[in-house]
Amino acid sequence: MIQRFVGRSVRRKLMMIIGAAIFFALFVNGLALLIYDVDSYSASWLNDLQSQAEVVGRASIPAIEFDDPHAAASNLQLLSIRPTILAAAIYDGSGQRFAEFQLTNVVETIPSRAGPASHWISGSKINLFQPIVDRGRVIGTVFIRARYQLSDRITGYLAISGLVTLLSLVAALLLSLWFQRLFTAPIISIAEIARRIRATRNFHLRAEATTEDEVGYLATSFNAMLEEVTRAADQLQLADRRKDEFLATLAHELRNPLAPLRNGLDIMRVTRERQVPGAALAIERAEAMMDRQIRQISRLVDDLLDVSRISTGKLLLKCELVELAPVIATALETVDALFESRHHELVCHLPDDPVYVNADPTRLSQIIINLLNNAAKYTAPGGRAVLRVSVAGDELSIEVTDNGVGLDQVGLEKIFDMFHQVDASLERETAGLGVGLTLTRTLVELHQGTIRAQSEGLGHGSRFEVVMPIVAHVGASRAQ
Amino acid sequence: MPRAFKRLFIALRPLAVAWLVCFLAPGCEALAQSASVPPTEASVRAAFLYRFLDYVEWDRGHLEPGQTIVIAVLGNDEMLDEVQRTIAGRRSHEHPIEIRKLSAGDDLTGVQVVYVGTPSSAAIAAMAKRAMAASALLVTNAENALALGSDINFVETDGHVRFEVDLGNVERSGLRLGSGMLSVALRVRNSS
Repeated sequence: MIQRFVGRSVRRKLMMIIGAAIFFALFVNGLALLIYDVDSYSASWLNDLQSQAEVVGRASIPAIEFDDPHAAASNLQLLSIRPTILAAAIYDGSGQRFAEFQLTNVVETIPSRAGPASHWISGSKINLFQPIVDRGRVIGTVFIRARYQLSDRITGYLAISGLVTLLSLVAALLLSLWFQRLFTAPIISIAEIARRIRATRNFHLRAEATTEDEVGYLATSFNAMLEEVTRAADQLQLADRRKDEFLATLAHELRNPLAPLRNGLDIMRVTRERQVPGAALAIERAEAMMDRQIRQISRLVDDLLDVSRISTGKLLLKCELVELAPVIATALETVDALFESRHHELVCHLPDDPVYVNADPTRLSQIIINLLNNAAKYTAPGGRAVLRVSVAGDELSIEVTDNGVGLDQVGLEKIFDMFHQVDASLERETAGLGVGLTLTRTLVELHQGTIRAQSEGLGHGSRFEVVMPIVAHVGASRAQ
Repeated sequence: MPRAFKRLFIALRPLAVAWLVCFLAPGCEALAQSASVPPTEASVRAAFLYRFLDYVEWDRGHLEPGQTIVIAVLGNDEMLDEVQRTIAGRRSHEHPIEIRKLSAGDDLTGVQVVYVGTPSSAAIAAMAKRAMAASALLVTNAENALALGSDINFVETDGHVRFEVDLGNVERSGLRLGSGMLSVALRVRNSS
């Protein structure tokens, strides 16, 4: 029963609830009224009969006193104006029947002797013995038998009650149909939107919040969830697209060194076979070139591994107390070839006194290399880059400034995002996977530091600054 | 169920009491016999005479509150005995009742009811005048007595004692009769 109810629609449920509530209320109300009515009806009916017996009894006092059954009978005859009275009798003081009356066409057995004051109901008739009292003395008794129309009364009452219940139910159901629209229309509208979204996968549909109650709140929440879903879906799509682009970039970047390597091998093979003059120089050059290319591939693979570690949260530092100067020296050494090949000028401002930081030296070096690489890559040949390392209070600042392509506002916002590249085209001049700055930022954050990018706009160069805590330092910076 | 027992007990109680009384009282048979004996005409008349008192109103001058009602019986010793037996010692409302034998020439002062037992028209007519003058209710038992000045006259019909009333005579005697009594009278006359 309950399962069947649960399975119904909201509309049907509402109708059933309203109908049941009204039926129950009317039923209880009707029952209470019926009980009250039956009770008061019986009381008033009895009261009425007793009054009539009293009247007839008093009128019959002389008849009894003067032993006149005719007068008594004519008194009883007065009861014939009440058709509900079937029979009546008067008994004298000794209880002997003295006079009697029966409604025409009715045959009733009248008690032959008077009984004590009482009333009783037999079937559909009520019987009453009422003493006739004169000056405190019982001189006789009146007997009345009347139709007891309780069943008619109950039947009539039930009929009216049933009719009222039926009409009320119909009115209530009509009313509920109207109310339903008020309550269920917004819910049904939301359900319809949900159905359409499932069918069409169109997450841009929205439910209309027409009320300010819980249903309105539901619609608002539903829309907010849709917004969330849309945003998440968009983000997923974007991430997916970035990954696709990354894969293409990766393939490209990995493919790039292969041609020079093959060329190098060819040069070495041809040189060895033909014994050409100056072979030793050619082979040396080829080896140097191949070494660069292999290091490039290694760097790419290292970056890839780091990206993977970032994604899985497994990038860990091996921190120790390190002096900054050797770390910077290593970094400068690493980028030196690149700066040279692009004819950039690199200016360094380093502190005079040793600065100690609690860091992973390899990673700290990687941070500086990445920033300098970035400056070299995004600056036209013959450009200028400045590395400024300074200490202010307990903080170390590593600042790399260039006069390269610069960044616009959008670029500044996304510069640290994974796979983001200023120029995403495969035909770009600069190589890379678009993970360098992401990696740099992660490494800086792992060192409890912060990184930020600044640019006056496209063509105005850019400035990257890393700030991280130091362990100890002495002295001020000096130009180098 | 206990209620049904209670009803049964209540219903049987009078029977039980009656049986106990009959069993214990000596002369129970005689008592039962006397109850079944039909009343004589004289006793019915005596009873009626007593009941008339409830319906008759005398002026204050003839019956003060608490004053004894005197019923005087003329010319019928049997009736006198019966009246004595039936009424003597009883009261009508707050009035004690006294029964007195009346002779033809007796003074009617202080008499409220006169019963003339003789059917003699002359006696009735004579008494009617005096009773009327004394504001006494005259009750008779003779044919045509109302015409002779009687207020209430006993009549026998179908073996039953009934009575007839002359409201004119009653009024002339300075009396009033209750309507309840008139409703059971065999005949109500209004002589002018």
